[in-house]
Amino acid sequence: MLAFLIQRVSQAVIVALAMSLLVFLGVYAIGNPIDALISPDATQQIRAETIARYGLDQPLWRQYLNFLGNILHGDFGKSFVFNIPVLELILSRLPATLELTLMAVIGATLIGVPLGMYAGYRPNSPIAKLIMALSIFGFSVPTFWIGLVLILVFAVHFGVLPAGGRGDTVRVLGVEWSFLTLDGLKHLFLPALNLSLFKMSLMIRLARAGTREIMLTDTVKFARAAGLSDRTILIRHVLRLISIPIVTVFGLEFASTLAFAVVTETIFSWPGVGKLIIDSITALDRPVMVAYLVLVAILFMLINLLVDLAYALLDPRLRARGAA
Amino acid sequence: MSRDTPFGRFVDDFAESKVAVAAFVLLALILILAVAAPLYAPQNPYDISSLVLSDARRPPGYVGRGGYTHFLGTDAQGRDMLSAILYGLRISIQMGLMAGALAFVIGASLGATAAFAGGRTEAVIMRIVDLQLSFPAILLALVLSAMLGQGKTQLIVALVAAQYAYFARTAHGAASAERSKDYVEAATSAPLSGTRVIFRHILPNSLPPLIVVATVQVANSIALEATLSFLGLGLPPTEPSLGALISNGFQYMMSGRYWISIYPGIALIVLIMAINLVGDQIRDQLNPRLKR
Amino acid sequence: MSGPVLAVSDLTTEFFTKAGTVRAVNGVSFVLNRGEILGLVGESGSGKSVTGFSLLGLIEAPGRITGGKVLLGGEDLVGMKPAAIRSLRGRRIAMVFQDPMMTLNPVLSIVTQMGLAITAHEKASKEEIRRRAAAALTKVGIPDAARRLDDFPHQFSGGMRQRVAIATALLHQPEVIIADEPTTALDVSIQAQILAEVRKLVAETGTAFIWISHDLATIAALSDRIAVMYAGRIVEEGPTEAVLTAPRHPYTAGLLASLPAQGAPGEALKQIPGGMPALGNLPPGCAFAPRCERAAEICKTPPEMTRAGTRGHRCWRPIGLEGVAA
Repeated sequence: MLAFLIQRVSQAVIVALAMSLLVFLGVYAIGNPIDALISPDATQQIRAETIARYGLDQPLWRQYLNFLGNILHGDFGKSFVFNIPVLELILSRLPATLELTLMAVIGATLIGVPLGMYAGYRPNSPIAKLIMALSIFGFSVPTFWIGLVLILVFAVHFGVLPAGGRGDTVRVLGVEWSFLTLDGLKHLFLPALNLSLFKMSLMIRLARAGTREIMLTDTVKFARAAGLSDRTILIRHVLRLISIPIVTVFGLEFASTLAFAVVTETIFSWPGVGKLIIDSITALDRPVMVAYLVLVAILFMLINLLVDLAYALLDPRLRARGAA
Repeated sequence: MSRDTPFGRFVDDFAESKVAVAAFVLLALILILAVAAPLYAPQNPYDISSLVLSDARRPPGYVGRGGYTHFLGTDAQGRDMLSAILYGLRISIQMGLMAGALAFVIGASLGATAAFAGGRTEAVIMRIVDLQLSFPAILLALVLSAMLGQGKTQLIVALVAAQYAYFARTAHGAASAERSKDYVEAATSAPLSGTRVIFRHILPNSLPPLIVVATVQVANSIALEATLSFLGLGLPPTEPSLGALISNGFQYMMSGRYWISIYPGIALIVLIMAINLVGDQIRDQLNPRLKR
Repeated sequence: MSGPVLAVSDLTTEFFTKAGTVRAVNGVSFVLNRGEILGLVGESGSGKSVTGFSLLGLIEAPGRITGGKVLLGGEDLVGMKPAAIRSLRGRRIAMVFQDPMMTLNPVLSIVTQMGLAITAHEKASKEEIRRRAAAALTKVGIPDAARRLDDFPHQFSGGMRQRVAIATALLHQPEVIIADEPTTALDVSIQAQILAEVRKLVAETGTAFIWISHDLATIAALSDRIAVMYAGRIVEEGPTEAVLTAPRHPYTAGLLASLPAQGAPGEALKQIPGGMPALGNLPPGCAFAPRCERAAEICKTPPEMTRAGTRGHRCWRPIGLEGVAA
């Protein structure tokens, strides 16, 4: 088990390094940030000062090494736009994104899996067909469009829910969370719903496919021959068996949802990390872009690691192999 | 369709699902409409000289300066929505198919090569592929798009880079499985050239899972492109794809001018749903575990 | 307890597919007594497994039992309500399948799975479940049962897994256990152990077994009576030794002759020419006629089952009974 962990962590480190290099090179290859910082008719002196201050005149490899060195000190530089340390900037926006993403993915799983299991259990029933039709819809419709429709219907037309922004927050463990207030929940509902629909459809389809396959196996036949009710079979056998692929997808999708939050945050003006990256791309705020991508890469490694661990916990066959 | 050939059986089974057939017909219709758009669309939305600003933001049914009815209204630049949507569909389909096809070819070749090369080459290639798979496509496409700038080629590069990994992994899995099967050993022990083994034996058996991935990825490409355009990346504003049209109309939604965003959105959804419905049916039919 | 434990009469199971209707079980009748092991022998496609499933009511769409009666201690299982038949499954009639790796859930521990089988029919506390499961495992010859309760299927060897499956089937002391090719997936030496175990169990508990297999050797070693199936029908039945030493149906004779043990070393193995017809495409009359060297005009009409004492054969021209009017 320990060897497994060390291997995965060292892999993650290598990847993070590679990512940082790629990202650094890529980002610094776009455009000239000078033009984003000072007006075109600034004096030469101001130009020179700005260049010196941000180290933009040094050779690329130098800039990279500085960057790497700084990262290890937790210093990602200062945002060109906001003029505060990037790490601070990102960390201040992270809770908003995390809470949105968690709500979305958890909601998607809690609703999607039971619906999908039913559809897989009685594939030809009208309810199952309805569920599948809805899932195709949720799967096909681009997230941003659903967001628009949700705003149109609930905020503009009915006026029951806010069209954007984050609600009141409560400080817990030194971080501001909004899902603990009623106003916060009102603001959280639409964007979380928006973000969750795609995942929900995925969960439904996954649960359905898995259930359908498993219902045809000998395990289920044997259980039936022993007199188990279908309900027991679904809950104790099928659910347990599909939990493995579902957890894997949950983990992967969490990462991808975090990324997709970019779109939802833009539409709902949600002050999270996603909106930050879009604004940074437009404003060519390089340090922010670089830091975001590197941090995101690290986050994904962590998530993958956690998924692998969960996998090992859920599938006893892997535990034996890992220990051997 | 006779049930004697595998293809015949496939089509026969496909025809049993009325929904899939309806979706297929719809898809074909959309394709024809989109490809032929320049022939009958009332306006060429890319031709700036044909745009009349005083006709901007008009509701559906308005008769504009051009003398024809804007069935779906006009957008902020005075473009006829119907024409813009048709041209937009054209672009979406173009991008989706090209990106999908390229990703397929590149990814499948890479995966199959890795499976055959074995050893370190295989390990290195598949490591890269796996790493890329754990990174969400949208972020990758986002960053690449931002780096490369706007334009059709750049967009395709971004889309292909974000998606080839799925094909690579599937092709690698299928080719590896096939390679270790007994019939390949039999074929290679009789003096058959490697190429012949690959093309006559391994490829046909690896195709089903690849086709399954392709059906998913084409729909994904289209959605991804729309999302990128919506966010302002991807294609230039002079050649708006459906995503860009929706984005343009976003700001007018609050004031009740919904048609600028909603109609392109509906067109996009119908397109993607049709692809998914057809793809679903194909996937179900190709899934060996569902055969009794 | 008098009378047979299981009485099957004229059981017919059909599958309604796009390609046509397939009659997998075609008017099968037999009787099973307490403590008896009945061997159901046949090639793949003969309908023996479907017969087994039909007895438990486990036939799913597009299949359906379309006729006949299955009397378990007097109650007819055919046409019983699903809830009623479910309460019988596992409790009074149970089944063991071919590959225990497929029938046992790989992610649940043995005690969990056996516990589910117990609580499907009655309430039981955790301690009681453990006690009963350990007892059942010990009964089938698994050493150190109490400690192995929390193990997972992959931690057992193939033979052990099959014993676990048999133990599960025994939990409620059913009157009948149907075993569908239970030793086919196992090594020959393990097979022998399982067979010995089963014989011991039958002697101790009086459970009746229906042992389904294509392997004549196993059936010969284990069963008291034998029923040979061909194309959905029983073509010969009787006490094992009698049938195997003096087969009456040409198919049975053919099966015996083709056993490798029967041939002299170096001699070509005898085969029955041709293959079993597809169940959707049966010839009129006797299904075996096209392959039978004794076939005659009369074989174009379907033969009835002729019973003589404890034996029965479905043939117009049985071996050894020439001169006896059909």
